[in-house]
Amino acid sequence: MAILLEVRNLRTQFLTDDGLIKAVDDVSYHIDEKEIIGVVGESGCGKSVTQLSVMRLITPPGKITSGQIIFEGDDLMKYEANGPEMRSIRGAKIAMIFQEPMTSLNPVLTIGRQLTETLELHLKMGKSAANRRAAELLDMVGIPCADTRLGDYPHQFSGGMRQRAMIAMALSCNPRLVIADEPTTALDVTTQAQLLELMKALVEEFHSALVIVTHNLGVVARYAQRIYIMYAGRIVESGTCKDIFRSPRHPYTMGLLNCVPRIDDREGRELEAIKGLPPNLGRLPGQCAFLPRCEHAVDRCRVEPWPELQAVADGHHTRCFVNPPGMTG
Amino acid sequence: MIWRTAEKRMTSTVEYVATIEEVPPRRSEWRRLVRVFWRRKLAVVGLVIVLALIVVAIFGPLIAPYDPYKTNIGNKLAPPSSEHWFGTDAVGRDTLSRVVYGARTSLVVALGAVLLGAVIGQLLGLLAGFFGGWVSHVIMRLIDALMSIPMIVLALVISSVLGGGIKNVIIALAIGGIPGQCRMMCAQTMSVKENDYVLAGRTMGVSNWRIMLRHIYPNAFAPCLVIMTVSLGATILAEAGLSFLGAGINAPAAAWGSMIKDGYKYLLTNPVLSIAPGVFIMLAVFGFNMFGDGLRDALDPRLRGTL
Repeated sequence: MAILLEVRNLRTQFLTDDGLIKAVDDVSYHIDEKEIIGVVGESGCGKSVTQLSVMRLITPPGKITSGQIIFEGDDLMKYEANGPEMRSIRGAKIAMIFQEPMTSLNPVLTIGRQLTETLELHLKMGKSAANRRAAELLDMVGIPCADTRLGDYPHQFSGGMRQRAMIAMALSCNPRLVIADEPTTALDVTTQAQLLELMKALVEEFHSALVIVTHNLGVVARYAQRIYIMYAGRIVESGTCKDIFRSPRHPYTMGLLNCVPRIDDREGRELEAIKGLPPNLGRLPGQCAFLPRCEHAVDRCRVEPWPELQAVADGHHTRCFVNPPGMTG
Repeated sequence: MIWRTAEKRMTSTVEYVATIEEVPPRRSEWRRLVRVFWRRKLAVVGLVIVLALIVVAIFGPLIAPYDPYKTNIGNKLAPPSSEHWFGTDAVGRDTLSRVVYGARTSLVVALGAVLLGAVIGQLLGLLAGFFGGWVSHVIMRLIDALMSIPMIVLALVISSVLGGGIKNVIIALAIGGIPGQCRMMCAQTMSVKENDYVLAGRTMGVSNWRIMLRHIYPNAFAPCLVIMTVSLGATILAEAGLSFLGAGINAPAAAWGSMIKDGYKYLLTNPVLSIAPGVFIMLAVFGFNMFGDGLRDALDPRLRGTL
């Protein structure tokens, strides 16, 4: 399948009072058309910053210092961050869904107004056409009485309904790529499942590609075809969903998997938490950033710099010297 | 293209998607506002005074018993009577009629000055808060400079340079109102722009101007509105002060401040000439302040739930 988005050697840094924070450091990944990928990692590992960089929405003190963002064959880095080219891509070709449905809708505008804004902006629809389309979209995401609900304000919607409205907004212009940044984190578990099903169904119908950014491997297990694991601003492992779950090769991925309960667990297995805290991105050592928390570390890890991503199998890469044999599922 | 396929999509999607059963009750923000405001009795009194003033200002010609500009030397400095409730002034003009017309002057000047100051101040504040950096530095230092000059002195200078008259008094008082509006709007913008819906707007490709005016401004406006209502009272007072000092609206136009000035020469013999406009100034300022306070309580999110 054709590659839709390819990010090459992306570096995004923030110059703060505490020094230079390398939030995204030499990250490369790609997503094919109509593909669903997962980007997984702890809070503060650079997942969201990576996605905002793709949208060119990094504002000072942050800066994309190098890299290429090739979307549909065009390098987005050659456009001005807030210029007309980027604005016509945002919303129309790449859309984003955020974590907090409670705060990502404007409280003083009606749901209908917020939906029609993008339609009028990108598709140059008239008012009544945009309204009709907005009602269709709300109906599509499963909000009953969509016609009358268009006139409601966000506070009249529940959390799940707001997230549905956000999905409708994101899909309104039929984007090629949808980035869902922790789309279900703020919702309860049953609503999470409904919304993930909904998103999957809709991106399939719209022939869009979907990036699911999450800290929860369970969320992507069912939906993503390929998974990227991020740690301390870098990708530490990438592979197909099966690779990651069946034969993880990076100790961090294993740690993530070990702290998820499994249905076929033997009775009494204790969930293992990854010990320690993620590193301070402003003071990264030259060696592997996971070293202080790693249980498999060998002497080589302590003296040599963090290795590059190495292939361990076709399409399965990891950034580790040890490559301990994976858990057997 | 999206259009034609939409119908087909709908049917197939709905099968996948469980629709939401319960729908949360609709709560009206507006009703809560009215309720909180209504419980503040002084605020309601303020609102009544403000409305009464507005009625007097609009229907002045119908309410005033005499022409406020018509002199009658034969009946000058008449004491209060059934024909002239507040007596007549030094050239025989009916004081009640002049007070009624004075309400119009006061309100026009106060509204004009506050609105003009608010538009300029809020626009500057929005720009400073949104762009930050050097834009904010330049704007806020200008505002700081403006704030270091006492408002009444500034207004005196401006109206003596530009001359008196309603238009120039409005400009002078508007300049005095800019800093407060600008600072409040700047602070509000800085906090509102951090909201997710602003970022969401950006990801939808909305331009900076649209984000500022559609997404930030309406969410940042409420505290500025409170300042505006309270400063209406202060502006009425300032206009009266300017007119009293002779730098504001001058005779023959009817304005409360200049009426006090004209009347105070007769304070011992005909005190009503100064007292009548003075009481109206007091009432107006009191009314606007109480109304503003009530509005602040109703709009203040920190008090939400406690009232």
